[in-house]
Amino acid sequence: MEASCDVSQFDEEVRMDSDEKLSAESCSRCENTCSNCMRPEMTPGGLCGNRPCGAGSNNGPGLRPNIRPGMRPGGRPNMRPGGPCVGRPCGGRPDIRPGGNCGGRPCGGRPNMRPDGGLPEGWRPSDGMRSNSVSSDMELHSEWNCGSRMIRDNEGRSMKVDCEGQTMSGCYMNDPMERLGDAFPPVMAYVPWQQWGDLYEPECGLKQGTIFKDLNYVFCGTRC
Amino acid sequence: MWTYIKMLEYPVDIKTTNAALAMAIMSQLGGPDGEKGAATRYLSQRYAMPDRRVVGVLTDIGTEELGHEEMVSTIITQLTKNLTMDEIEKSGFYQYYVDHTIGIYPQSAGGTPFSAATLQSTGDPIADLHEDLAAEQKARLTYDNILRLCKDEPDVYDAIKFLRAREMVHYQRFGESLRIMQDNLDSKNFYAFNSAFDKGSTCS
Amino acid sequence: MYSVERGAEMENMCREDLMNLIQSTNFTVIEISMYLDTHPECPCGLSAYEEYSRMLRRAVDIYERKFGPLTIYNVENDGSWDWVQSPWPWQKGCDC
Repeated sequence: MEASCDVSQFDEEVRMDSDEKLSAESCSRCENTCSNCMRPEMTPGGLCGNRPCGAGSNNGPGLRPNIRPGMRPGGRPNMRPGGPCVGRPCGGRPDIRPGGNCGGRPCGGRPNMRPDGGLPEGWRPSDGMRSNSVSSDMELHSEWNCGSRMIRDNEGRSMKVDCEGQTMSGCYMNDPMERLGDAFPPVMAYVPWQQWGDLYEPECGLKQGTIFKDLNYVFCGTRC
Repeated sequence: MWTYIKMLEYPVDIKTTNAALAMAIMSQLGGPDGEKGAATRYLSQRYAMPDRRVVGVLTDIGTEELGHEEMVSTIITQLTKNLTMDEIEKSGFYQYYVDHTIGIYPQSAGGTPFSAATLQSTGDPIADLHEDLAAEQKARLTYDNILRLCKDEPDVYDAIKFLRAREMVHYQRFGESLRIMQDNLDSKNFYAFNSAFDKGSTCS
Repeated sequence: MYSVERGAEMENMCREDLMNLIQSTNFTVIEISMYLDTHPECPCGLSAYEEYSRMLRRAVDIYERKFGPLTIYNVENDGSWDWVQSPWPWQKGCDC
């Protein structure tokens, strides 16, 4: 788009972008027509009414909509309030992992590094900064910040290498967010969408300061 | 437009006085991360927020913060109402007493009067929501610090624990608001323009 | 959850118990409202809102009829302005 302050043109572009996103990612999940999405507003993200409980519209392909077992859209909620009126347990001090030190050499500190890190013959950096590779390791690790990246060859094969172009192995973990493809570009903060879950009974919820069991993180700190 | 409801959001019923604790808790009324600042911040930011859902979050949380102002003021009032002159003189409270007797005045625990200099309303939705997320964390940790001070005052502890828990729920809502704003922007460049100000973009 | 039985129960509650019920139900409605601000299409949230807001309205109706107004919109005067007759919310505990 050329430099322009033409409001209608700008709105049109935003609207078209959003419509594409909605038809590709969101509207496929609902039976509703998306006539609302055609409104030339800056708020297209969820107007079509198909962000089910807690699901973001940026979900990558293959993510199931956020329907919990026992919950039918439009039906009675899976509320099941009750259970003990307590927050998350305190637990002990966490196991402090050595930050980012995963046994390999740290990124960025190596002298004479070429920008491409010496990629294997015939391989080049993949477009984009993330991969769609699925990690079977669901744990959250801090080790995945080693600067890994996807590379591909001319035949479309891709593989993951470390920041020096070496094949990934051992404790290099995939960032779980990578599994969501391009949904989470860098230079931005993301809080996960809350999913509808178990509630406390009102009296207990008031006592706890939230009715949502998922959001109840109690304070356990002590100091002599 | 607002309507007053003649009740507290959470019951506060403190029977014993504690001047030193009142001085500390005062920070959550008029201190740098207090409830008055929170309400002012969110209610002021609404007017530049382009998304109706996010305006809803700012309105409802800002309104709840007004209720928290009333709760914190109630805690301070009940902690100081029956202080004797001896208690006032022997605690750090006498400095406050000189200017305000046992009236409620919004200031930090250190005595700095409430100031809008502790908050921002930038007119940039992404920056404002990051400010809000940070504000909730700062208020949460201030309540953590107060909780360590009032372990032996169950009536106070109870109410502070409630207020602390609210910060985390608000954090979640502001996080979701940020996600909503991201949907309205170009994910290839979230910073290409200010959706609350720019009418166009030179980015192709 | 609101039910007819609960409604009858409310009628017989003392002032303090009914106020506790109103506070906890009001809080539940606040929580669900805020959730719905960012999840406006969530059927579970909408359904919970319906249930609890109905329960809250019922409890507030009973409270205001028996114990005095909670807002300036439902003041039943008996020769004087009832809004300022009952204690303010901070006037508890310390005999304020």
